[in-house]
Amino acid sequence: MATERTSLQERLEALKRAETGNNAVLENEKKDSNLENRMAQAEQALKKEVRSKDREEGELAETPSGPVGLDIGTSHVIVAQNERRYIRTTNQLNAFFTIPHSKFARDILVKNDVFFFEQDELYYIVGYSAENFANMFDTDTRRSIKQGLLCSDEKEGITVIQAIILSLIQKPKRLGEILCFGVPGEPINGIGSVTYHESIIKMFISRMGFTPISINEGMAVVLSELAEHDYTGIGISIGGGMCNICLSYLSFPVITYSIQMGGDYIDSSAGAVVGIPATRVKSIKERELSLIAKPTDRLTTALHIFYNELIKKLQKSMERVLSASNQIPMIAKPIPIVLSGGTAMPDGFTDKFQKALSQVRLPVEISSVYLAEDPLNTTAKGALIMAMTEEIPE
Amino acid sequence: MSVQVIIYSSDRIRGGILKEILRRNKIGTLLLDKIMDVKSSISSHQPAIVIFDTTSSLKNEINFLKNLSSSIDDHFTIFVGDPLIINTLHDFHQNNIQKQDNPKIEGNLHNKIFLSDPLDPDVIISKSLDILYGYPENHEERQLLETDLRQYLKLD
Repeated sequence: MATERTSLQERLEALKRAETGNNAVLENEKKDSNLENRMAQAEQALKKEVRSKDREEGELAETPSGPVGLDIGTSHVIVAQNERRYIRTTNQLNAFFTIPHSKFARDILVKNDVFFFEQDELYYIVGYSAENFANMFDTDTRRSIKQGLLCSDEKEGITVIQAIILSLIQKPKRLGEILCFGVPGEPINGIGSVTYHESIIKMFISRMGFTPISINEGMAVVLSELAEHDYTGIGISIGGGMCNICLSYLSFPVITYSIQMGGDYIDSSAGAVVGIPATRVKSIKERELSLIAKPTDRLTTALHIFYNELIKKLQKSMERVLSASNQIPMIAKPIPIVLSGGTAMPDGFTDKFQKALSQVRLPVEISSVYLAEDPLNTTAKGALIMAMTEEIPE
Repeated sequence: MSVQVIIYSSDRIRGGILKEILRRNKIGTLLLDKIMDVKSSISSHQPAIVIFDTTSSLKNEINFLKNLSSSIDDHFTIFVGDPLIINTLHDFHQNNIQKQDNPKIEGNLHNKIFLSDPLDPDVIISKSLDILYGYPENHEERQLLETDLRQYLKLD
């Protein structure tokens, strides 16, 4: 097969054909100048640096004036927008905390610019503010999304996720602006419905005035990181609630799946054995954990143990899913694996994962394993790139 | 670009890959995901090759495909998919030809290629280029090898 590299435009058009399945009609599509411009902008955006910031208390939600990428993760919601010289991402914690309704509490929340809403005699504090409150009360925040999917045991889940999205973005300047959001792959153990999750979010985003499109989270990682490899390789997003895996061949998502295990599993398991709330374990883990250094106390020992467990689960799942698939084409050259997501960030994680992977036989040869340039924002950036290539419907 | 190859695949990912690898080799293609559209498209485009990807096809579609592929002997046909289905299609065509006692038996059999999974883009490209232009994809490489061999054998 020819090894000629094709442009992003061709790659993304191919991906879109795969997403829509409307091949016969698209065969004769006209490549107008608008499409070419959009593709050129997306290609340029891929090269831009990402500048990231957390949503601050009291900060107003933005009104997007262009395409938007949205990563709705179990632990964070991230919005990506294309600026002239860089890609800008804004992060919000995907968590909430409730306190009983009272005039005194309300005054305190308003005075401190805390983001909250009121429902059923309760104040719902959402985002980073929720974490502050949880730490104050030495307890855990609650989640609207568990293990990557809208949570069925939190009846307020949908309202909370809507509030979190609304804390980041408002209606777009132009009605029908494209918003591309990441969706998980089907969990291999089959718990939870990706279709339900995707449809609910799509409905909400449509009501906000956007044209919603979705992209598999692992595919977003490939789109963001594997341009130089012709969009052929494995993208893995290791987030709070799940790991999303996508094997892409020439930008076609040949295999996508997820395992419902991630940073939350590590935090809650380690917290349970040491007797510390998971929220606090998470903040210690993010601040100081290294998987290279030997554990020095009970907590880091527990974190090492549960990290190993996660890597083992991921390794076994890849061996099983890829080996059992008859979908993988013959790939002549070894392919890279790119890791992203907050849970993949501790020092030594990539090496540990690579070592674990070398102990199993996969039907494709792996050339390298590396961590994405900006692991927390990779999915949002990939979703933005996808959004930039879409045309606003008339 | 004229349509040199018609691809039928009801699997959007595999169909997309087939189309993409052919497009990269500058081969004009038309990808169809409904078997009912294939016959009319062959009539209107007169492609040199028809690729049938049987993956994800229903039993009725495979039956339709069997009959359709027997009626397009003027076109090279490449069947790809699950080994069981591909073997069935191979046997079907072989039996069909024997029954017809057709003097063009060899020719008929030779314009049908049966490729079992896994999907091998290199083989499909190589076969397609061979059918379309009479040489495989690595034409330049082959020419270089021939030149080297001729020099080595002192044939020049």
